Amino acid sequence: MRSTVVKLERRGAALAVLAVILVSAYQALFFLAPDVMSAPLWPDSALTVALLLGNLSLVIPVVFAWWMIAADKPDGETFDASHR
Amino acid sequence: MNSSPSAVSILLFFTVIAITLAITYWAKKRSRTTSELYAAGGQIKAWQNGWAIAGDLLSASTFLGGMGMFFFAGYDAVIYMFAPLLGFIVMLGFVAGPMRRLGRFTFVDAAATRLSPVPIRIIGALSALAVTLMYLVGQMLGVGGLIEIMFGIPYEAAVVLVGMLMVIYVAFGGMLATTWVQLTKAVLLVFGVTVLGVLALSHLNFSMDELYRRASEVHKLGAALLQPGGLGLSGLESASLSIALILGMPGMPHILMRFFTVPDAITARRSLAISITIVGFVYYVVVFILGPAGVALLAANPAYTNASGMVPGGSNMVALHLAHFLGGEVLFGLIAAVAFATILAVVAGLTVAAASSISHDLYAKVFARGAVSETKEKLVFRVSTVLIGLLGVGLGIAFKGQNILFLTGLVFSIGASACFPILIMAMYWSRLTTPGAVAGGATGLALSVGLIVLGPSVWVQVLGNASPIIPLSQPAIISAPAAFLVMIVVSLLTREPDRLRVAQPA
Repeated sequence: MRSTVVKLERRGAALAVLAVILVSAYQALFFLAPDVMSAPLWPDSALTVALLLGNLSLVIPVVFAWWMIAADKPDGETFDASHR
Repeated sequence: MNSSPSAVSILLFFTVIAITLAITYWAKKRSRTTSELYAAGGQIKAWQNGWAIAGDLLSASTFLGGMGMFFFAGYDAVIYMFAPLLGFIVMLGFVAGPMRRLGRFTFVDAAATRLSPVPIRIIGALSALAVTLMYLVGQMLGVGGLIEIMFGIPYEAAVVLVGMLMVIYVAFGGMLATTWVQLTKAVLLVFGVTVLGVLALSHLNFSMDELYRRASEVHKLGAALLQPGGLGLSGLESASLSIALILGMPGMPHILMRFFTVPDAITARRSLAISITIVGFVYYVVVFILGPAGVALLAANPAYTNASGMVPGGSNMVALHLAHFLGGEVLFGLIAAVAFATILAVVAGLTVAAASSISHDLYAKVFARGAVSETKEKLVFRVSTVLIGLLGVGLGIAFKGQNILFLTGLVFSIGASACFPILIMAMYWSRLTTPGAVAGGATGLALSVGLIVLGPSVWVQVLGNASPIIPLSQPAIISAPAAFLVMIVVSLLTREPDRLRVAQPA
């Protein structure tokens, strides 16, 4: 049985919010700095700054996910245990 | 390209069906209790659940719709890839662990833990049903087109076939069969996109520069192919779509249910990290390699496009045509089988979630108030599965012709506006009251569904009206904040009955 709210796991929550901010910032850059985003990575390249940052933005959630669970320790709490 | 079915396609198609039915037969013997039926007995390992969650998320919308959207709208397809991944991160940071600790079979279990269970279960189950049924429609649309192009049989017949298969998987094999069907499909999908990606790059000398150059040269958008705007969404609609996808993911009932299949909260979190890695890889290949490769290799190729520049079967079939271009009938058959398995696995997961909402939340906990035998609850679950199958087939036929990825965006709006607010506020906000949760959830559900119906995607494209009543195709930017606001205001104005301030079973 449980009558209280869940205690927020602050580290995981902070990392989740940071990941969202970083990737959202990437999306926002298309509107804030379109010239930078469409600039080629080197002269005559079809690859743009946006593509490079896009690659990084897709890696961020994966890295953050493993970072978030790195400090997990077993607490033995399951539905059956907490509602017994 | 010759659209008549090849022997390889037919063989692989029936191989997928045979394997999934064998899994179901195996799982049936291990699905005797309600716990086994709803949650595979809580004994799934982290790596298994990680692959199964990936199998749940990597739907026809991701694979077929993602490549199709890049083909006609370019880089805007990225929004549909990045935002759900962020939704997974939100799920990992706020939802996964507590969900496993608080709930038992459905996400509504967790939401109902400290509130009055009956009204919370009603609004939660209705929200879950709205999400899963709409999602089901997207999958049905994908499979209808797929089988049509593979075998030339009518769309409607294909939808009926998939409906029958999903009912068999879920009614007999429950969550265990669903888990292994999803796991198998996810492995096949990762294999398939990897093969496609490597072959596509080999055609372009493994040069990303060459890939993007050729894509820009042959697409009607030119260099703008690699910039946002191809979908014609306004900044407001882009933001609304992102909100829907980020907040909708942690509100997806069929994915939340997967956390009850593992032994504890840590395993739930670890399995989600594994699935984020798998999903991230597939998203990367689909959006950064296969999407542009589809444009570069097919868009200017008259053997694969018609007079209007579109591939036969519509944009959702770009993946199959690319496979044919790269590897002939064998690769076409393989990728078609992978896509077919993808759809089967996702519809099975959706059906488990929808049927559980009816049998566990509505029947066992609301109608019978918990006084129900396991035998009867299992029977209701199986009857519900058949009903969901019939509904899915009917809606799949009614929505024929819609772009499946766009429909998924609508589904996530409902998840972000109804399921997620109820769940997150019930977990973390101590002032939340039952009337507040019900009012907020109902507001989110009504607004998201209402705005979708009155907006361009249903009012114009489905109902055939000249112009939409609400000119916003992505309503989450309105409906999600409104749900939270109503929840907060009503909770502050009402009081939970004293008896509910003491712990109570959900």
